[in-house]
Amino acid sequence: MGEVIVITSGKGGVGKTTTSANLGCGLAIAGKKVALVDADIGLRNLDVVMGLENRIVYDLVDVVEGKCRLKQALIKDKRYAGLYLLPAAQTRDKDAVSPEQMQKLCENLKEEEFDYIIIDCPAGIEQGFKNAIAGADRALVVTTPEVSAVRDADRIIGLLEANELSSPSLILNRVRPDMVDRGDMMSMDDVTEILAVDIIGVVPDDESIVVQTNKGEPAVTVESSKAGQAYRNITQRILGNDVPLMEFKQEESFMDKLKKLFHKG
Amino acid sequence: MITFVTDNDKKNAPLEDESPDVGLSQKGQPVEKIIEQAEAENETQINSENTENSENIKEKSVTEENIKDIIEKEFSMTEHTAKFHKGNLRNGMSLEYDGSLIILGDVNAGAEVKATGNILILGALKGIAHAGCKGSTEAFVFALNLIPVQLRIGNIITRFPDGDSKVNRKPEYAYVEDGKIYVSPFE
Repeated sequence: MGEVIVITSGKGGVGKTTTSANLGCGLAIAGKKVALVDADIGLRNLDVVMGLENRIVYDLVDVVEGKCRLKQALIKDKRYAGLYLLPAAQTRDKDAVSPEQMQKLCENLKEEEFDYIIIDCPAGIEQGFKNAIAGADRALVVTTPEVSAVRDADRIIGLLEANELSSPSLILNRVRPDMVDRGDMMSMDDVTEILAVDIIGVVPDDESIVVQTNKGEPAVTVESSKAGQAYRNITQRILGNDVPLMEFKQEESFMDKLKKLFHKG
Repeated sequence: MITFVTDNDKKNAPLEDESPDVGLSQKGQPVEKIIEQAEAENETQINSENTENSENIKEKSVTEENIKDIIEKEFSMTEHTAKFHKGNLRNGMSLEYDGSLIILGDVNAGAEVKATGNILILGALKGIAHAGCKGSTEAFVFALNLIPVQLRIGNIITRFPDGDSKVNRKPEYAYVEDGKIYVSPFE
């Protein structure tokens, strides 16, 4: 039986869509059958990040309204067998779908023998959020090490717990190890102390994310990308494998080494 | 003295918002300064008209031994019910009770607790707590880590000094004396 995972955050722009795309690809690379569902009706992005925008014929709203069959709306990924995308409607808004309809949709997707169904939740705590979490079995909360994002994550975790999605896992995105070392940015420990939830992964701030997103190819596919490695690790943890958290060691530049030498003298 | 009720208790009626108008001028009593004052006046006069054993504690200096007595006699003299809440209160959650509240967990920033009696937090208080919310200035607020954004007791509102809220402080309690909110360590 498949597992429905909702990727949420409360605050916008922290990396929900990027995380959804990367984890979806990561799980597909691992040989699982994955459905990515874009629940951000009216502001769809996941299709663009996946590079599948030009293949959309039917969307999520068409499915729930019975205008097409579920299989017709699922777009097969161009790179990985077993990866499918259910895009959101762009010309409608969040009220076009009800939580009950989303629940039914998730059940139908499970019947299609998907191993993982990943739902990309919209920002906010209104209808779109309620729809996205309605059919979920498990939640991943994405946050960045900023007070505003952490506050919103706290609110979201509270709402998830109230909706019987207890013990969500946390993904700390866009961490800059150099700033953490200098004490200018919240560390992983600071964030987990505030939120009191398990952390499933720490993703470093990485230029390759922007490059890959613009290309329509998630960073998880790039071997050399640090963020991609972090997403590969999170994928392994979702699959139940125990992978240690990544250590970010700043590579010392030549100048740093020189400076150290002088300080010693 | 304290009786415990469950969540489902009918007594748990929503409180009327009786918060009296509080001028901003009263708000900004920097707590740090008040602590200094409190430490300076070692011979604290304790106003305990409503206390049964008032004679015993009048004009006693605040020492580690009698601080417990003060809490017991000064604050929790009125008989009222208390409610337990287990778990963290997260951003956006609020808890109100007609009586005292005991929270086994943290009160995060953005959360609000309101009680007509005392508030005891066995965790960190980072949000807003309002003890004695029907106007009783005899209520107190206790927390293992007292770093709220704002603290209200009765009709007095105080703002904590801006700055690093990460500092791990020792258990403290806040109470009202001479119309000001004081914070003292609990030892």
